[in-house]
Amino acid sequence: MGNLFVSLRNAAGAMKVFERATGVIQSNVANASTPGYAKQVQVLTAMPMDLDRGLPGGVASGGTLNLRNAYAEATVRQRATAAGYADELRTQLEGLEPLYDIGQDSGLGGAINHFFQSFAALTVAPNDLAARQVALDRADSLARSFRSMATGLVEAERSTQQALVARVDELNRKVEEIVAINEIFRQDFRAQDDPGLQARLANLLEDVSALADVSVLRREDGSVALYLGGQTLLASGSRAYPLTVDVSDPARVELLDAEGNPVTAQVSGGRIKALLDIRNTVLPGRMAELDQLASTLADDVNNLLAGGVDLDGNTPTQGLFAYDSSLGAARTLSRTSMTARELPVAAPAAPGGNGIAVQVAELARQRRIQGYTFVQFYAVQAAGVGRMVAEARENAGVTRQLELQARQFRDEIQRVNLDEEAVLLMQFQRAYEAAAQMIRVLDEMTQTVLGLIR
Amino acid sequence: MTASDAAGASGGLAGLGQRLRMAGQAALDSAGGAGDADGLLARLEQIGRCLEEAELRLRRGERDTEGALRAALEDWRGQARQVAALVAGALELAAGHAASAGVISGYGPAGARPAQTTGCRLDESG
Repeated sequence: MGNLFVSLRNAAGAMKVFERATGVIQSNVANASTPGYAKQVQVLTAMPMDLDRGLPGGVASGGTLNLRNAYAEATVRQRATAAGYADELRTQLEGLEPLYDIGQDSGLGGAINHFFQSFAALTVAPNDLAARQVALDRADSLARSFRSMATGLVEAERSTQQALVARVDELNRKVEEIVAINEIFRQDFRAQDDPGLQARLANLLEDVSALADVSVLRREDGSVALYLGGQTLLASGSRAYPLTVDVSDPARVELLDAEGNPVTAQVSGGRIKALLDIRNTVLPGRMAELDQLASTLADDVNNLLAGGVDLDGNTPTQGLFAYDSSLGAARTLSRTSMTARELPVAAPAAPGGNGIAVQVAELARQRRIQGYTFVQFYAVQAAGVGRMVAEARENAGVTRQLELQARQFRDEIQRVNLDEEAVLLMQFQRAYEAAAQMIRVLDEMTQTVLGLIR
Repeated sequence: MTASDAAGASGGLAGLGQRLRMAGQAALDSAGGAGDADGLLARLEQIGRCLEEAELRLRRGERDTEGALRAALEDWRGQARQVAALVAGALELAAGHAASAGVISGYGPAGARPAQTTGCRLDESG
């Protein structure tokens, strides 16, 4: 009688356990396409059987195991960080590219050309008031071009700053959501076995990783602690430590931790790092180059004209250009009130001549700035931005592919058992080693063929 | 010989350049997928054949008058850089995954549950 009872209890217990296992399988099937979901396995544990001591044997549930592969997950997050950085850099640089017009007759390069051409025309007719007025108009137009470009760069700084604040807010919100999940885990240990919750956590961690490089520390209670750049605490248990952006210094923005300490240097990846790089390095660099071009050109022209005389033989009382270097030469460059009659294009020794006009016109061909002519210097800057955009596009494409690759790899690994996984890894490694070798050979072949064409 | 091969053979070096360009793009697409290593090898072989043919035809005296082959070669060099980066990424994944075998068993059926491990585990370093 006792044995029959034991058998019935075992059977009932086993039914419950297998029922749970079926539920796990159903969950795997139902969530096969859920982003972030990792396959669950129901563990069945044999119970000790010793009837004399009242141990009935049978099978018990050992809980569910999450087959999420920690390495694969971490790699996906790392690559999400790289892809986030590259994509944000591409987006911001593409916004900058239209400022650098490289047309012969348009943009800043065209304005510089037109200005010097007007002085070349003055060498032929130095006393022609109409030609003198054209030179003044071209000077006006040149100053406007500088200001317009500087305004574009300032506007880019402002929008980058706004984007940075928005991204940091987004990071803080995601961290808050992670903290809420931490709280659930801490309140109920069994919640760790909830695949839906784990999937949500995994997705949030990936989202956060795309924004900044964040180290993830898993604790025994299932909660995660997050560290920005492996150093600054962003979340621990049920507490979040939000970041802020300090925009009080116009020269550079600073990322601050929850206590107000600067942590900008700790960010080494993700969208936030890209925005910091653009705002603090790329844009100030472009502005400095533009200021250098504006001030050098204005000073050179003013210095030459200072040595000339106007139509009435008088020396000038002011230059052709004015700017405020404390606010930025390009942003403040303007033509002064000098009139066509006052334009000092003649040398003092030959009033009514074209001596100074010739010297100003020749400036166009002289290498006055870092070994370049003015137009060449501008073209080099424009080409530099173009190169940055091209590289950023290529990097964004590659890093995005690398991220997808890591996701696919993770999904492949999670579908197979450990033995199959080892075989898969070996096949995978051999095939890609062969591909790497082939690419090296193809590179040499490409060089050879290019050599034959040249 | 495929239809596109035939078109390339009759289209001079420009046609060959077009084939090279298409094979380069296909290689890039294959390299982007973690599981398509065989497809990638096949595309790379195709590119190798294009390059061999180009070398042969140039040595025989054919001229790239319009610069189409040269442009295709330059494009392929750009694509090759990206393919190489993706292949390096795939190898890194495989090597890293193999190296993390201890971590795998910690999470797999044969090992202890995460909750049974001691202390904390940093599963990603910045």
